[in-house]
Amino acid sequence: MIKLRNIDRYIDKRLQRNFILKGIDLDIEEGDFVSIMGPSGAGKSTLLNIIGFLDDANEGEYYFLDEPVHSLNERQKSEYHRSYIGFVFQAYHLIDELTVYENIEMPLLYRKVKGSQRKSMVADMLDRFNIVAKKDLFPNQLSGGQQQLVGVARALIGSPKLILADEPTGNLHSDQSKEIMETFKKLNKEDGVTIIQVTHSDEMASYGDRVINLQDGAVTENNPYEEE
Amino acid sequence: MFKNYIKIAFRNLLKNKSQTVINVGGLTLGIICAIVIFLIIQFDLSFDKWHEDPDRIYRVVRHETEFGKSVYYRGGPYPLAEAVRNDVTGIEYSTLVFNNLANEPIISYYDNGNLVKKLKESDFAFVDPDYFNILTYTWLSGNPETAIKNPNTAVVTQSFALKLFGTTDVLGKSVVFNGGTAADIEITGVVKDMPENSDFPFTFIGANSTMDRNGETAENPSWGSNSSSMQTYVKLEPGFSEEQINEQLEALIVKYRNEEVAAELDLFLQPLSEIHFDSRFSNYNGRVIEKSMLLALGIIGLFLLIAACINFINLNTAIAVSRSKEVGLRKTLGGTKSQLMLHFFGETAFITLIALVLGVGLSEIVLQNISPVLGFSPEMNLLSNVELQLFIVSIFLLVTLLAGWYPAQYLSNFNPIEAIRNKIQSNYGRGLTLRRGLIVVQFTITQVLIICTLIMASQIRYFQNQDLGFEKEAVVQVPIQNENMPILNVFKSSLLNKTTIQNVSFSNTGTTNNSVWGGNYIMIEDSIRHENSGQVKFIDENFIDTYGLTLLAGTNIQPSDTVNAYIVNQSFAKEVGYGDNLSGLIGKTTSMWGTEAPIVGVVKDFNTQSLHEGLAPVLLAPRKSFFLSAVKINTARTKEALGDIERAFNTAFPDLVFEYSFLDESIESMYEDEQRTAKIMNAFTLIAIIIGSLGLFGLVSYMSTTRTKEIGVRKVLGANLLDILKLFGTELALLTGISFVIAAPISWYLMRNWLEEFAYKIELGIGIFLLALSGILLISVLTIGYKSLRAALSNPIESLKSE
Ligand SMILES: Nc1ncnc2c1ncn2[C@@H]1O[C@H](COP(=O)(O)OP(=O)(O)O)[C@@H](O)[C@H]1O
Ligand SMILES: [Mg+2]
Repeated sequence: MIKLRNIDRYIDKRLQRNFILKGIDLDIEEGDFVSIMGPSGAGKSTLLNIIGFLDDANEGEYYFLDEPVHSLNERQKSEYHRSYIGFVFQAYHLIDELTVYENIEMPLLYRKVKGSQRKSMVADMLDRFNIVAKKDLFPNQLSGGQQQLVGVARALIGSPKLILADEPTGNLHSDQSKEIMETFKKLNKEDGVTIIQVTHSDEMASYGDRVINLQDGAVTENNPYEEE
Repeated sequence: MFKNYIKIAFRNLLKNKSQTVINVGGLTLGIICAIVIFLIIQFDLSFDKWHEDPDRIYRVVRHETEFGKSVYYRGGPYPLAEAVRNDVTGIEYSTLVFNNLANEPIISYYDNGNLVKKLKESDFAFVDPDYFNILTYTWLSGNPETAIKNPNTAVVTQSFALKLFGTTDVLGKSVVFNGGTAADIEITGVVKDMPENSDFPFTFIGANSTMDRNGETAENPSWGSNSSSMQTYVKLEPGFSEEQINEQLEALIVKYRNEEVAAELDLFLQPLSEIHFDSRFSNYNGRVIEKSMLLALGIIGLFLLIAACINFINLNTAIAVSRSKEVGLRKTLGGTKSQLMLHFFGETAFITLIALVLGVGLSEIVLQNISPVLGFSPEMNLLSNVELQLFIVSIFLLVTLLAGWYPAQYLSNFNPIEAIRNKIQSNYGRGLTLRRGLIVVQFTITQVLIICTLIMASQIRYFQNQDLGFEKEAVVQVPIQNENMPILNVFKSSLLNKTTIQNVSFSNTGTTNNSVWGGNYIMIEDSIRHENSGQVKFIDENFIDTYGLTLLAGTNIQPSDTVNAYIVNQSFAKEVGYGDNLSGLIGKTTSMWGTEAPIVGVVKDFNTQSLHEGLAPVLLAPRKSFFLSAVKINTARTKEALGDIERAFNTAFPDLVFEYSFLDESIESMYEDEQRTAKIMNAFTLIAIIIGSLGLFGLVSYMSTTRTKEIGVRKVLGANLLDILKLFGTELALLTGISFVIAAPISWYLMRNWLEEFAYKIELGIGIFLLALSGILLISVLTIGYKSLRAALSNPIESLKSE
């Protein structure tokens, strides 16, 4: 599904070139549940952003579903964002001016889903995450865990084939974290959704089937679990 | 989707209340100005457009060369209309319009054989039957073809009929024109009043043949005498051009006068569509507005709208930072750039729509109260005024585009990751430069308006404080029309008996009036002939005292029925070479209108016209040709004095209608145009200042919230209050300075042109410009002062804790 070949991402500063990512080769198949780990500043977020078309590599090749990403135009990328890729962020990133209900509904608006259908889809999501009672609250009226549940619900409502989660549990208590991870795992197993998450916690990584270790912009250890 | 945009827009509006007030409030102000100005322009452009075949209707006007100077007149000789009708090919209809404004007539009607209800009516005209074939009236009763065919007939308007008779059913009723001295006039038609957008506001239109019979035009029956109260209007036959007619008009002068006159006099057609706009000629409405003034007005409106849009752009790009997260997120959720653009455009459109609805509603209120300022009241008629509807739609599109494009472009271009990380800085390169540029534009507009307003105000003050050469205070002028000396003397002595009255004088006109009596004076001395145009006033022996003129040499005149002496002014003395030797002029003879008489006195120059005009040679002479009385009253008892005058007037002249005016007020009213312009400019300047201040306030309050952390850090590092205030102040001072440098020459140029029109004008010194500069600096300091002071005084620990 995802094929990265010799990816470089660097920043040119005066005479110096600072590499954030260097020579990344990576294959991720449909149905994988991958955890990216590594110290702060290693380039994990950058890698995830490149995978999610939010950032572009400076060098190298990236094939998404066998299609070269550099040949995708803005519209096609947006198309993938709407119907294929869901993002979950560490800082939740809900829209403060919208209620829980409206935040979850938003991706459907971009996909031009019909009103009645939208209603039932959002209702399903609220149900699934047990937040029906909170649907008319605004993000700042929720706890961190609840906000992240909304964030996940929003990522899932478009039934994405790929979920990219950047430290989704970074700001949460362990109970809340487990709940999110269980959700991911279930999605992965039952619906075959591909999941790539960044995490610092071995416990969270253990929900997945594969770990990629990133150090100073390079993959140092690939697939340790597979070897077991 | 759109609902979602609106929802967010609405919640954003509620969340950032002060910003909403600034955006919506400023825009609403701009829109009110735009709509009101549009309606004023529309109103002025609509004058007399609605007659049938307006492009075939013309007035015959006159151009003469007098003492080498080009002069334009709206009137012509009395027989012209008929000659045009008979001798010129291509004329379908031709009519004289006679309205002698010097004699405001009194109209009365019979009730059981008694004359009742005296009514002064200045909006009258005597015309030929063709008149109703040229201008379009709506007839309520009577036959347009025959109504004024016969002498002593008249057509009146609905409002006139209602005023005089209380009904419009007045066919066949008779009225008396001029207090019973003229014959009865039968009303043969009733028409609807002319709409407000007409320069023909007549309410009483009589048959011209009446005037023939009464001999009222006998004083001017010849081709040789022209008067602005005798105008000729024509309707051309289809297919004839202005030039074809003008050539024939030239031939008329040769035919009825001679080649010599024709060389110095042109008659030519003025299109009906120009009558409202050509300030070389006046009209019956009294208000002529140059199209360039309308253009200037339109530009001001556009600029105010632009100034309001600038607030919008500046504020929205400034707060874009705080919305960057939303933008980034929407992109990760699949929002395309064009969708985001549309979203932000939607928000702008929504705010614009709110401002438009408010603006249209408030414009209606403004329009209902604007007539004291404008002197007329344009109407909105939103539902039937298609041009206005189009205009409002264009404002909507223009504002949405102007105000929405840049913020939308700017916001939707955010890189999603950077945006989500809130990495976008408020002083993000291009945005800041643009914002500064726009502020300079806005400040320039405001400063130009401030400078122009200040200059207008000081010019008007200059007028008011100018020494006119006489005392304008405490003089009440009462029109009279009576040449019967015994009655006038009774009136005078009954007034002089009162302790409230100090002096009384009769004359043809007062010291100062828009219309002057004039002619050429001739003075021959040692076979040197001085001939030039001068003004003449017929006065009595109390004139000089009543008006407080200063006699510099010689004596006052003695009462006389005929011109037997002249008092001249300094300008006259100067022109005939006695500028330094006034007493030398006493005893010399001069003549005016063919009457030779000795000069007995010289008075200090006084302004006989508004200060648009300079001084002119004036001759004062005794002659019993009195239309005006001037009463010097005791100002401590003004009310009592007015009562005394009215009683004495009604006893002496039972047929006349008592009317009075204070001399100082009549003089003031000569500057009505300037005062009206100044008032309008004041309003626009105030609005520009408000819009500008709103924008500044918004930016500064935004800056102070986004920069609290920076300020906190700076304070911790040892910056003092002044350092922090400088942070806000320096840039502002710089922008103000730049815009002043642009605004000063523009306003100087504009105002120099405006001042050209006045003979008496202020100097355009640097002072007034510096005053404007300090004014705008003061306003800016007041606007940003509070917010920046609060930011500077805030506790640094508080602001740093939030991270
Ligand atoms: N736009 C950027 N400009 C400069 N440096 C950047 C930019 N984005 C990321 N970096 C740098 O790249 C490195 C990797 O960042 P990131 O991918 O966020 O790391 P991680 O998510 O692993 O903590 C960091 O040192 C960061 O400072
Ligand atoms: Mg990271």
